[in-house]
Amino acid sequence: MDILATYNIKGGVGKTAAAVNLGHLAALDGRRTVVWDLDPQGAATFYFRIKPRIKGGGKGLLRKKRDLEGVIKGTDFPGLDLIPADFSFRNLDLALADARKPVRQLLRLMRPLAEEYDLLILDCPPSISLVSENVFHAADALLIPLIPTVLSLRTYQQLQGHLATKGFRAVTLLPFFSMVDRRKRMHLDTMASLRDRDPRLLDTVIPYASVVERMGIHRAPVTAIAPQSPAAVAYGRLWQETKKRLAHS
Amino acid sequence: MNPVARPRDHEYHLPRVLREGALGELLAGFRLARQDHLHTTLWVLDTFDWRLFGAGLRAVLDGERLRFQHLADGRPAGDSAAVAPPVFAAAVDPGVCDGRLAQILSVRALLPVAGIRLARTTYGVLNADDKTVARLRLEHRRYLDPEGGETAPWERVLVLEPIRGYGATRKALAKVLQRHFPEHRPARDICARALEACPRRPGEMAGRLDMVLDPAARADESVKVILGRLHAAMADNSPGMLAGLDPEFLHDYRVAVRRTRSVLAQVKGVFADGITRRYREYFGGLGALTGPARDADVYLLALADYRALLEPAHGPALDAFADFLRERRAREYRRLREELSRPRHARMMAAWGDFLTRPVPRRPAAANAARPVKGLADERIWKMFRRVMKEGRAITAAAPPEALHELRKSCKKLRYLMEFFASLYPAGETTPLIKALKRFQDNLGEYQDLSVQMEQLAGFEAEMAREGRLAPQTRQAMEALVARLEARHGVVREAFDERFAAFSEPAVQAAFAALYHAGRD
Ligand SMILES: Nc1ncnc2c1ncn2[C@@H]1O[C@H](COP(=O)(O)OP(=O)(O)OP(=O)(O)O)[C@@H](O)[C@H]1O
Ligand SMILES: [Mg+2]
Repeated sequence: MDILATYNIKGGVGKTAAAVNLGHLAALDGRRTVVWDLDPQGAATFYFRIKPRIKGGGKGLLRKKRDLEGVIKGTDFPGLDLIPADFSFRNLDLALADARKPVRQLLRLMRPLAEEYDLLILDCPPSISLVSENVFHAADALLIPLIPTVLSLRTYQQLQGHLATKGFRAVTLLPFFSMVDRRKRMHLDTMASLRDRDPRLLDTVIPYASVVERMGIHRAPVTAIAPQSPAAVAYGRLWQETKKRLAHS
Repeated sequence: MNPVARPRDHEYHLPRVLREGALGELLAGFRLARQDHLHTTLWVLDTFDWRLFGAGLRAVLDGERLRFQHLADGRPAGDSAAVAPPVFAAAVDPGVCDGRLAQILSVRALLPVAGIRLARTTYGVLNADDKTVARLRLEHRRYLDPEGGETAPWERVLVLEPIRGYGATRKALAKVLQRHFPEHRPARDICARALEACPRRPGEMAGRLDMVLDPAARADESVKVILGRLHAAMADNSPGMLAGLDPEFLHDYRVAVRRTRSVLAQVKGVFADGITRRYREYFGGLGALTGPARDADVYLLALADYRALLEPAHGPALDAFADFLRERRAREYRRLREELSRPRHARMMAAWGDFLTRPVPRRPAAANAARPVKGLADERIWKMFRRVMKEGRAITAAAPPEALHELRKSCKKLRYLMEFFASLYPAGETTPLIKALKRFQDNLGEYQDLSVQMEQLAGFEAEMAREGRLAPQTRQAMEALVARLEARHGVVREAFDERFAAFSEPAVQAAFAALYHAGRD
């Protein structure tokens, strides 16, 4: 089972949009896929019309009262399941801190899923916390949506610094540009500057498109509501590229 | 390994005559939304000698695509643009079936072996958030032979497709449906159903295990292919067995179970210990569970022979015994159905299928897992052959029946190993050796069967007496029968030396050594 996380310290950059659409595409591609909504806000859970609640909350899971497998919900899409968010996840950091080897707890919970799934996608909340450290420890790769602005690239650099100092060297970084407006000179320049500097940068660019915002109205992935739209096609390329990088990582 | 928690589809057979709107009224308490409608003809394709089936695969052609899938659990194995049969490997996307299609088919073409004309409407059952929490598929099916003729009465089936995490909805739907449509069961794969209805059944080949293994392939992968075939054989025979249709279903099912157990026990060190142990136990239990029903079948089938063994005057006296057996058979089949309808059974079987189709670990812990299968097969077969020789030589006139019983078991293990791995050896070379072994086994088998029959007949007799249904004539007839079996038992025992001499003659030994032990000592 590959573990992929959509992550960025910054909020509102397209992490959840990527997690939801890639999850849908991976399932269409024949991978048995499960998305774990780690964000107490529950955006991914909302997009799949699932109730943001798991019995026993995050603590129940950590205290081994309940298996992760027991809280999985099927989405409307064959081959794609979801582990819903839970409001108690906002205190997940505290619960993790109580455990022994706090950084390894989430991976421990995820391991049994390998029997059933080929791909696990973690949709992470923004911020650096014990939860995100668990994610860095568990994930094979981090998909990092970047809005092409100078500030946004700075947080990307901060993230790299953080991973290096904390010793998370095994995780592959897959940065890609998200919410791109090609009419903006500044977007184009920022993209070009990173492309020169960072060979890890994915070729795929996710355009800014109102159809992505409409996911909130339709409560379904773009790749399901408008599979021919440029945004859906871009997510298709993102999936293909991610798949290739995962195979080589 | 965790059993798969994924809920399974369940099918309800609807009456062929159904008042319009009846289904809607029945399900009035649920919010249904029509999500999909499909009208198509599906063709199951295979070569005339069932090569795909032998490799644990299936091809299904619809109007648009030619799809491949794993037999064990229906998982996709790639697809390609539809082409009209005959379909040669060259006409198919080379990526399907992990790139093995050309190797599997060689020069053979895929031809239709069975078809289904299918009209399917899918309804989503929605909750208050318009989330689909279950699906219902209403299917109208006609089963076709390759020429398009119908092979079975058409069916109207409602399939309940639960969605994980929404067990309450599944239960509520099942409760309503069950009440109105008493004929229901875990959903069967429609392709398997179509094949079953067809005159040419892959089951004909099932006993022969004619799969094609690659000598250089990893042992664990190859063993998964063998076990996958056996798993498919169980799935194919299970419905017929549970329906109590023909004793052959239970028989074939048991053979597949026994062979599975034998692979797990004989081919050591290819899977993680925990897996091997867990499933050996499970299939052992399954063998024991299905035994009494099989016994009842065996004795009912043997009744004609028994009558022939006895004076004609005894014949009618056996009728009471026949009645006793029939009741017993009904009871045992009922018990079997009950036991096998437990969720644990479905879960174990599904988890087993999942395990068999899952890719093998890149760096396995089990010692023999990554070895080329040919070397492992040589080793196991040669070792078992030597054991048979040793045990055979130790049988003297004074040897107890248990010694013959042990030898019989070793022969059976040898036979299974030779059959599992036959495709690793030059075509035609195993066949004469299996024949020689079979002649020897026939003697041991008959000896053992007679021992068991004598013992069991005495047991049945005692049971009938306890139930107060053993008339003096019946007792006499049964005792006469045991006496005849006893006489035959002696004759068979006396033939042992000659049969063993034939099997252990130098030419046979040399042939075994050449095939399974070439280039060593
Ligand atoms: N390519 C896009 N084009 C237009 N709008 C987008 C695009 N991607 C995301 N959005 C919108 O931007 C908002 C934030 O996106 P999203 O929730 O995916 O980001 P996020 O990084 O997961 O946010 P958070 O940090 O809050 O979890 C949402 O309203 C979403 O619909
Ligand atoms: Mg988010």
